[in-house]
Amino acid sequence: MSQKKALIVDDSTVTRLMIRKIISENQPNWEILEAESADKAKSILPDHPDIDLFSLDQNMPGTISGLDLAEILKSNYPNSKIVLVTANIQDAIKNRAKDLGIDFVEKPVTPEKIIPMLEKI
Amino acid sequence: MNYLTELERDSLCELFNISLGGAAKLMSEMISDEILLTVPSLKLITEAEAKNFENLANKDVCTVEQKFVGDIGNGSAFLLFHKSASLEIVKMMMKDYVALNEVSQFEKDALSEIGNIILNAILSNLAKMSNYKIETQIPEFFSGKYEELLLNRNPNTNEDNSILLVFIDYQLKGKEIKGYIFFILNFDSIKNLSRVLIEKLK
Repeated sequence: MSQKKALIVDDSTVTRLMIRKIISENQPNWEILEAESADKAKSILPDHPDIDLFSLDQNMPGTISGLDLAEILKSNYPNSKIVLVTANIQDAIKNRAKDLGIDFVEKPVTPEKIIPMLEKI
Repeated sequence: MNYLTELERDSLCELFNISLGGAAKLMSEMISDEILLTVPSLKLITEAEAKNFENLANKDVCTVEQKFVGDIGNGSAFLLFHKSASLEIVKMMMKDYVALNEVSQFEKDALSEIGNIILNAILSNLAKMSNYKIETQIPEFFSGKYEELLLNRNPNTNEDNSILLVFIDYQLKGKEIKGYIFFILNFDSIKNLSRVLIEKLK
């Protein structure tokens, strides 16, 4: 089995660090990439056609949001798992995530919220 | 002078108390500790009163500002801690993730994220209860003297009495740490918001 790969997209260094630690303690062999904005994430996608898990923040500096990026990912990575990890817990955001068919995790991140996402991959 | 009726004031307190309950839960999740909410925990104060606020006047503070726009009006929400408490909070939040001697490197980022989570939770709850749409922007971190932060952040300082601050404070169990949440909104928006629950009860 090939090595799994995750991309964490969040403008908060602390949250990226927490998600990275939770993933790497649970899945030590995974390769973990990070991006501090959706724009940055979008720009590195061509180099990584093989990402299995995307963890996306919603509100970040730049031109596109986490949900905007998710829309792009849905067509480019049809078999990957996409999770929106956000502090913006308004129904409008939850509903858009639901319509896109992606998972929704309310910040703050904890192992209890992240690990079940890993087990399904 | 702008004022709210007793019923409007009560309804506004209830809106914020409900929203704050969710925010307290999140904060305790983040720092693995129980948050004690002081009830009644909300005051409407004028800008002048806010500037002279007993526990904060002349103090060094850290604050996270979350600007918002939408049906509720345009405004700012602030989460504010005494500078001396901020590192303690970050330690509690980061203790499972980094070594203790590395914690200070993450102070700004960690407090920004706490502010982001808490203020968004409150605003999301307000949006839900009022059926108003609220868009939040990226949170910004500031540190310095309380009065300067408050003055510098208030976009409408020339409009006398047009700004009210909704004040909430909460306390961490067993620690001498207090946090404060301020909302700066113009009076009409506050008045509209206060009528939301009243309308629902009719």
